[in-house]
Amino acid sequence: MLQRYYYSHMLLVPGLILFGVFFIVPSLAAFYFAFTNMDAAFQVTRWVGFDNFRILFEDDDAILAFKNTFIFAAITTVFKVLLGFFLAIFANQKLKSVLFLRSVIFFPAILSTVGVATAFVSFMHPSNGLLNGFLELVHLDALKRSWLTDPSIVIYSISLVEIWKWTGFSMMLFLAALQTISQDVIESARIDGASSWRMIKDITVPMIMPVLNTTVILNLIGGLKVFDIVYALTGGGPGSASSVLNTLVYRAFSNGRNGEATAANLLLFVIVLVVVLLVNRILNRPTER
Amino acid sequence: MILLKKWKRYIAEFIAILISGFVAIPLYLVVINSFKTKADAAEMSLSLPKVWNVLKNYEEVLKAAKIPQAFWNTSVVTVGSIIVLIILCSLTAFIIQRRNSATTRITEMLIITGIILPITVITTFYLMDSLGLVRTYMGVILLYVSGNFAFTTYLYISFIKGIPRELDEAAMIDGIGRVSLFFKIIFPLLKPATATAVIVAFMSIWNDFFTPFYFLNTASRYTLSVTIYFFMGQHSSDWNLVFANIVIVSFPVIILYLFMQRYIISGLTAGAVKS
Repeated sequence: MLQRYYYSHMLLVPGLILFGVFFIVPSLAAFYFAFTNMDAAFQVTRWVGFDNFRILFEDDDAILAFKNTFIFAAITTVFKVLLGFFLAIFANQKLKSVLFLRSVIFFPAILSTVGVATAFVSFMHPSNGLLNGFLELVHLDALKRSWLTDPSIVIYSISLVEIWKWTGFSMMLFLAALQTISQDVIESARIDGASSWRMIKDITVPMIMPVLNTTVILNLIGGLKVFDIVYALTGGGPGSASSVLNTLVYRAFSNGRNGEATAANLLLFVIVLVVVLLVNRILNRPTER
Repeated sequence: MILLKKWKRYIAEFIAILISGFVAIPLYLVVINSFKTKADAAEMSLSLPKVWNVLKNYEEVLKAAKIPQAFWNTSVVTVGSIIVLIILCSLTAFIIQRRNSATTRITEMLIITGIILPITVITTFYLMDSLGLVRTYMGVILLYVSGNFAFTTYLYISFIKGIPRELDEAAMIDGIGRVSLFFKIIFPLLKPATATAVIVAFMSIWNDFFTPFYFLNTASRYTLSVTIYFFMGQHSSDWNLVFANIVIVSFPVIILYLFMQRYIISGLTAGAVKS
């Protein structure tokens, strides 16, 4: 009785109304409007079945957007996790410069994505940008590129910016996990003569597995949902060379093709759900020994 | 042996500084070029400015990009969203954690799904449009609250698990009301979780581009991130001004980072790991 009064369901109502109306309702509505011809004024005259999806799958730009989304999510996740992991191991040493290293590497994570992207538009400028200037300085002229205007590499250039911005975040997640590993375990392994590589493989990795899972999944979700950094760096261009699902949604929306935009959005929604469930299952597979 | 160790240490220190350079040099370049004249900045070199054009550049950007207005807009939506978010999420989490009923279990499941899924922006726009909330502060605040609701509530649920029920029961015996029980007894104990929630929400809302770009897209309501985007569109050859704009927009966050680095890092990472 007391429970019903003090922990009343009534107290859930304000939060649930807000979350329900502004998050759940639009999500569910997408399952209906993705199959309609909703226009710029959100008017629906007709149910079009799978036409919106058919248009998406027959459109070269849309297919490219799918491909780019997966490339971006995969590449950025792999690099952020690997670099973040090794940087964390490095930054876990007792060195004077390590504290400085940590705060510098983490720093880009707090900056506005659009600000970072805008700065990189200048750094990646083909003739006097920082990146090509640096390559020239170290005599790697052959690696100089038109980073943001060459359609064949633009999605990788964008990935590079994302990796630059967020690796420090992954590093901090791993560092926090590394610091929970007891010194005794490491000390006794060292006394037993384990090599550094074996210590990483057999002690560090298993101990930080939960954090590794989280980091991979967080980065994958972020990668699939990407919009800001792509839009601010290239607007999806040149042409549609760097478009991703969310820029595709925006383009259809700004052209007033809201049915199609909803369909693309719904696909993103489903892809994120499926990828997260799948990866979660793979990573959480109990290791039987 | 000792000598070798010392060598190794020096090499490691050197590598650490080298790695820091990859992040620090671009940042330095942005700041230093924001002090140069237009022609000087166009070279994008690492050298110091020939003429220090500091005041002139910053004044011009403040005026041209309407920074005071954008600063106000960003503050209103950030502060408004965080206040509503903290109150609603902590309360919701408290009920979910303390009461074990079908309703609370379903709510918790919805929340976990909500953490993962992206918003469906077109149908959301339709809804906001029907409610007359497009291009209003209120609309964007409601979207930020609903968008961060799942994550923040989850953060609170895991924290409230550590607060003993006996505390509630003692207060109940004293005949406290249910609203007071939460706001007077429980809420003050949630300070660490609230600090984490505020930091996470502040960073994501202050820097956000996606939501204001769709829902606050009118010059008088631009937020700081949005001003960078449009300012660059209009001044793509004035790199000194574009960089000054980036510095101005990042300034509040940088100041926070300098003074509260430890809390920000532990807040953001704890927030991520909890989910």
